[in-house]
Order: sequence, then structure tokens, then C-alpha cells
Amino acid sequence: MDIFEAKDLICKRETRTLFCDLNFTLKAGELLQIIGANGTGKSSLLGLLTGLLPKQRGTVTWQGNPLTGCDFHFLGHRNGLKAQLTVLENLRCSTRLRGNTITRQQILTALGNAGLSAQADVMISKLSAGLQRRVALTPLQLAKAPIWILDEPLTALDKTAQALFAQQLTAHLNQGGLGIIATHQSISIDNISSHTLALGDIDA
Amino acid sequence: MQWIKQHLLSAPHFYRLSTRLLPWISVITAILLIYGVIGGLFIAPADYQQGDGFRIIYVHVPSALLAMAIYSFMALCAVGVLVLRLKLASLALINSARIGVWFTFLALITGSLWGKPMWGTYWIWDARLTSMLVLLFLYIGIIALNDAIAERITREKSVALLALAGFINIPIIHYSVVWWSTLHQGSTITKLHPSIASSMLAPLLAMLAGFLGLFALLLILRMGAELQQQVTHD
Amino acid sequence: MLKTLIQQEVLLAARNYSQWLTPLGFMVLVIMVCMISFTNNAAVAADILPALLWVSILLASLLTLPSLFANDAEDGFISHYVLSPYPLLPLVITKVFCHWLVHVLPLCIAAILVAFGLGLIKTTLLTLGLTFLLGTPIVSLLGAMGASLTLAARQSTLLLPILLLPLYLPVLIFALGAIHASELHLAIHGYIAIIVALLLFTSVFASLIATISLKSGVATCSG
Repeated sequence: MDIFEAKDLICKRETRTLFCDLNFTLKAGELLQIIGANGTGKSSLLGLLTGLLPKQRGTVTWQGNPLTGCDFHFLGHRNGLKAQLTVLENLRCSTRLRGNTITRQQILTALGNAGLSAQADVMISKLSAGLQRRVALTPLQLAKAPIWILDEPLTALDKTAQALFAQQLTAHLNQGGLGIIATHQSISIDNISSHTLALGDIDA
Repeated sequence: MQWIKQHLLSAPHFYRLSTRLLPWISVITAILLIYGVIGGLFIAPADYQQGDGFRIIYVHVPSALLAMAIYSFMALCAVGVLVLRLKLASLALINSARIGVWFTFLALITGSLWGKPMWGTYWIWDARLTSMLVLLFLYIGIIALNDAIAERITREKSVALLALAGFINIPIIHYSVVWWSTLHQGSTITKLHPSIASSMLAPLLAMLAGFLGLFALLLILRMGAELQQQVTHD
Repeated sequence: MLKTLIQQEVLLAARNYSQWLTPLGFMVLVIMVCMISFTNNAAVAADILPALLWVSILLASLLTLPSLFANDAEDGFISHYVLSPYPLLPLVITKVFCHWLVHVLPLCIAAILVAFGLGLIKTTLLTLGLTFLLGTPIVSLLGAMGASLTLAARQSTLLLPILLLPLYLPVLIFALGAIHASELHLAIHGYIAIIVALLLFTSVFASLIATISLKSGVATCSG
């Protein structure tokens, strides 16, 4: 079964516990929005889920097996783009590292769909923050992964880009994908079963 | 194994055990050190070549041995941190480093003081002194790394990895330094007198055991203090 | 895939030339300052030249290390490595190779040129080059280990010299041993063999430690 399950996760910072005994399951086509004020452990939770942060306790499984890098797309706070490389060069290298062989043409098509055709050969450092974020979101369209784990994907995006992202997310979920998104701006999409996980009320 | 991990090596058990052992260790250490100091400084006969100058070995040799032993103990703790994920092990590791660095420093100082009458100068690039200096920097590196990382889990892992890296490199560094110093300096006096009178040896062994006790004592006190601090934080 | 990574690093170095040019300048300056202070004693200057070149490479390499993984951590690119389905160890080794290629090799070439310019005799020059070729990868390997351990640390620039210079000692000693032997027209096989052994040993333990520490330290820096 296409079930994503997080069990018994715990996050401790130096002196305080951000959350403990955190459990949730997510089925195909479902969206989980993680909300909470700054410093309540949203990013840490995503780190634990992806495995970027070592787990002190608990497990994260997908279809009954431990989650691996091929199962999901992750986009953190930072875009994971090299400022001194062009958009094309960046996407080529990062998709290779994911183990996908993707042609230049495919990248160009994806950029075209995202309205970034004109920027394909522009250095990342020359792009605005919003454009950089949009480039960072394009790999989601390039290689299919069942789970999207995104940290504040809407940061710096304008209205059009936000609408485009919502549309892409809907398509992803309708195809049986899963989404786990940490966000300040809650994303409302019709006909999607969306759960909300609020962090921060454990200490309080 | 699990049982040992949960019971014997857990923080509360360590705390109980250490408070019970503390008086015994203090008394034994005090006796050994007093005997060592009196035996070494007053009873043992003066060396026929070095006169009373040789008496510095009663501090120098034990602290040098301790400096090395403590680093080995830290490597053991590092394995405990990385493989068994023992919370106590990382506490023991960093506190051993903080104590060990002083023994290393003491060994260096006494070594160079001893060197003055023997070599006519406080410092020569003798293999043992140089290795000891390198060891001092390995200790300082561990303490500095520990102080520079804020996040606990990352800090404990990094420090443990560094301690291991240092430990597997110590023999290599030592032998390359020995090789280098024999090539460039000619051989220096690197061994103790071949036969050592028992009236000289007994206080030396007592001092060694006393220093070991002192290390255990300081380590337990430091770890206890830090554990208590953590408890009050939680 | 590893080829893509190497291409990317070389491309980045080409566009970001100050990153490797500054340490190169630093190295030349160190050599210059030392040579000037030995002006009155030309014999001593000629005598210590190989040692000076080695030491200045070690010092200059320290400047290149803080950015080795920190750049990738800063822009978040490091999560691509760590989350990659490929094992991390070969990626780390590739990264070390790139560091050597981009940062250390230019230092070695410049040092050889300096030695040539200052009239080091040919056999010594060859030995110097050989010790550079086999010895400086050790510098990159240990450097990568140090850089990964200090990734989450404040002021890694201050920490790295303390952590690394003691570990650099063996390769320095045996490289200079080889050079000394060749100056005396003695065989250098033994030294070279020891340096190769050091290289093999270091490539195993340093890259392993770097890999483990990257896995545990990444998230704290990529926030």
C-alpha cells in the first residue's frame, strides 16, 4: 500500500523538547500541511523525515520500507542552487545526482512550462529571489517522485507563480502523489484531502 | 548488552555508583600520592649522575603516561558514542580531554625542566617531546571543536570522530617523528636508566597509580557536575 | 554521474577564480617573505627551499578548506549529495579529488615553478614534484575530513589549522626525507613507498570519517 508513515519521532534542542511521540500516516493523494510559529520545529521535522537530520528515535517508512532518496523530492529553505552556474547547468547536475538521466530538451520543456524559458542560460546569481525559488521548484516536474517534502515552497513567489504551484501540486496529488509541506500560508485546494499538523502546542 | 546499556551505563546509575565510590577513590589516591611524594623526594637515593634533578621523573613519567592513557580512553569513549550511542560516553570523552590536556601540559613542562640540566636547554626537538607537543595539540583540537559546535548531537559525533581520527594517527605521527629525530639529531637520551633501584621504582609506581586515581576522581566530579547541570536544565 | 560532479566543480572554479587564486597568491607571498628574511644567507635559503615550499603549500591549503563543504551547505546544494540514491562515500571522494584538482594542484605547479626559477637542481626538482604528486592528495583528504568535522562549527577558519597541522606531520616528514635523500643521491624508494602507504591509509579513514560526519552534520547547517 502507498502509505507514508512517521512513527514516534522526537526532536530535542539543547535544553527543550520541540516535540515528542509524533506520529502520522498519509495515504496516496493526501496532503499534509505542517504549520506552527517560527522555531517550533517545522524544518527539523522535515529534516527528520528526509533523513537529513539524524533520528534519535522513531522511524519513517514508505510502503512499509524505510524512506530512501528516490522516493521523494525535497526542497529546503535554501534552494540548493549554485549561484555561479546557469539555470540549465544547475538542473542538469542536481538531476544527475538524483540518478535521473534527463535530456537538455526535457529540462527546457519543464522550464518553458514554468515560464522560465528566457532564463535558461542565465546565472542563478543574476536572478531575483522569486525566480530562484521557481527554478528550485522545477525538478518536481522533471523527475517523478511519489512524495514531495517542501519547506515553505511559496516563499518569495508572486501570485501567478503561487497559482502555478497550486495547480502543479493538485495534479501531483490527483495522480496519487503525496505532499508534506511546511508552510506559513496555508494552501487551500479543492477536492483534496488535506491534513494539518500544528507544531508548537506541546510545550505550551 | 542492552541490559548493560540501560542499567550500568545510564546516567542515574552512574551517579549513584560514583557517589558511593568517590570517598574510596579519594582516600586511596591521597595515600598513594603522599607516599609517592615522600618516597620520591626524600627517601629515594639521589641519582649518581643527575643528582636530585632526576626526581622530576616522579611527576614527569606518570603525567606523560597518563596523557597517552587518557587519549586511548577517549578513543574507547568515541566508539561508545558512535557505535553504542551512549550519552555517558560523550560526557566522559570531553571531560577526559579537558583533564588530559593538563596532564599533557604538565608532562611537557616537567620534560623541558628536566631537559635543562640534561641537554643544557629547555627545549630540543627530541622525539618524545615533539610527540608530546603534537598530543597537546590533538587535545586542544578536540576541546576547541567541542566548544565551537552548538548543536548537541552534531557536536558529540564530530568530537568522537575527531578523537578516533587522532587516535589512529598517533602511532603514525609518533613513528614519523621518532624517525625524523634520529635522522637529524642523532640519538638523544630516550630511555630511563636500565636498572632502577627498587627504592626509586616503588614511589614511581605509587605516583603513577595516584595520578590514575586523580584522573578518575576529577573525571567523576566533572561528569557529576555536568550531569547535575543537565538535570536542572530539564 | 561523478563526471558531472567533476565538471561542475571545475566550471565553478573557472567562474570563481578568486577562490583558488587567492591561496595561490598567499603561498607565493609566504615564500617571498621567507626568502627575503634569508637574504643574508643564501646557502641556508637554498637549503630550506624544498621544506619551505612544502610548508607554504600546507598553509595555503588551509585557506581553501573552510569553503570545501561550507559553500555547498550555504546554498543547500549539499542536500543533493546526502539525499542522492548513490552512496555518499564515492561522492565525498570525488569532492576531495576536485578539491585537489582545483585548489592544491595549482599550488603544486606554482611551487615547482618557483623552485625551478630559484634554480633547484633537476633531480631534487623531480623528487619534489613526485612528493607533491603523491603527498598533497593526503592534504586534501585530511582537509576534507577537517572541513566536514568543522562544518557545524563557528569559526572553522581558526579551528582547522589546530586540527590539521598535527595530522599533516607524517607526510611532511617523509616528503622532506625523500627530498633530503635525493639531495644526497640516495635511493628514495623507501620514502615514496611510505608516502604511498600513508596515502592509501588516509584515503580510507579520512574519507570514511568525512562521510559519517557529513551525514550527521548536514541538517544543522542547512537549517
